[in-house]
Amino acid sequence: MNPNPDVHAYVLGELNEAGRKAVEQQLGADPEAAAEAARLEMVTRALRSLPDEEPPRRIAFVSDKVFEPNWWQRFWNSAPKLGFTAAAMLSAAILSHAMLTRPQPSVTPVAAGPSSAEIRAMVNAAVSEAKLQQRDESARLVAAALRDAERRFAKERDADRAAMEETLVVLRKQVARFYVASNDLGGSR
Amino acid sequence: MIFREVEDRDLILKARRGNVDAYNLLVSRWEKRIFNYLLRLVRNREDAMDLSQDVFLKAYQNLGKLDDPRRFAPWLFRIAHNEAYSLLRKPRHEGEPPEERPAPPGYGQLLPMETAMALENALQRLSPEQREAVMLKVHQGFKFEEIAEILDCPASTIKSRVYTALELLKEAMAPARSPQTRGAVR
Repeated sequence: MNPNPDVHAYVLGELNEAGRKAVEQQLGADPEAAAEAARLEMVTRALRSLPDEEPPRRIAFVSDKVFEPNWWQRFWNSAPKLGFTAAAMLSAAILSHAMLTRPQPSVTPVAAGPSSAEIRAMVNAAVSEAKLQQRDESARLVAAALRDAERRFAKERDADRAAMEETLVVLRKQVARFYVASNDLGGSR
Repeated sequence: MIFREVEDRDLILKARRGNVDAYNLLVSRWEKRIFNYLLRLVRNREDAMDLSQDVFLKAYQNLGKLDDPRRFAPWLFRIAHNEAYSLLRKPRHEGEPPEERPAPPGYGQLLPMETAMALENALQRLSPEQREAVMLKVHQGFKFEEIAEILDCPASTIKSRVYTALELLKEAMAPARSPQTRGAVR
């Protein structure tokens, strides 16, 4: 009952031009085979015509929120990724070079540290010394200021004395002139 | 079909370059076919819908692994096939009676109701492998080597399944002519 396999291929459209013509000749000569082929064609037409259902809802698009890529995916799909990769590789190379060629620090034994009481004493001594230095500095500044003031007062006193002496000389000269003038007036009378 | 392939290839290349709209358009073009293929495999609308979603998400994530954009359709159906069988292998689905599939509204327009129902009944009496092979070949229009890629088995095996399925369907659809052969459909 099964027809020649070429009839299946013929019905399914799998044959080339020569194969199609050969089967058509065969079917033309054999009415029973032609009837079987017609029934096969009816089946395939029915299968092709089976209706498809519409999906009950649309498929969520990749642009929907649920498919939104996270920041890393967005960055990785962005243009600067090549630059970032190059910069990251360069940084890694510099760091690894620095780590591999860094000179080993010489290890020096560290003496046991002072106790807290000694530290307090050292701090107090340093504070006292600082206070003394501050006091000496203040005294030195005050002394210098006093010396300046005394020098200035001495200069002013000398200037005043000189001015008074000059004034006194002028007065003496005037008195002498008045005295001479009065004698002259008195003698002539 | 050729125009569709060319347009799909263009959309795939754009989607690979990060054009999300191009991929969304691809989804729109293929969602109905994928949903119906999955619906025939799992026979449950919600499962078919969830699986369709997973299929398109996986396809998007793996689009860069598709060597030849011209092979998009069998590649996409292979993902769908694997997703469906992963679901069917889960314990929840073992021995679970399938959802009764009511006749879709298209019946009576493309096919006479009696023919459509007879065909659906005959399809359900095929083995799952025969049913899937013949639907991929005739209803979805794939070539034998493409079906072999989807189902991961030799093309000769696919050819044998399709031919046998066609014979069984032919006998089941012609009861008046050969009633003695009706019982042959297993």
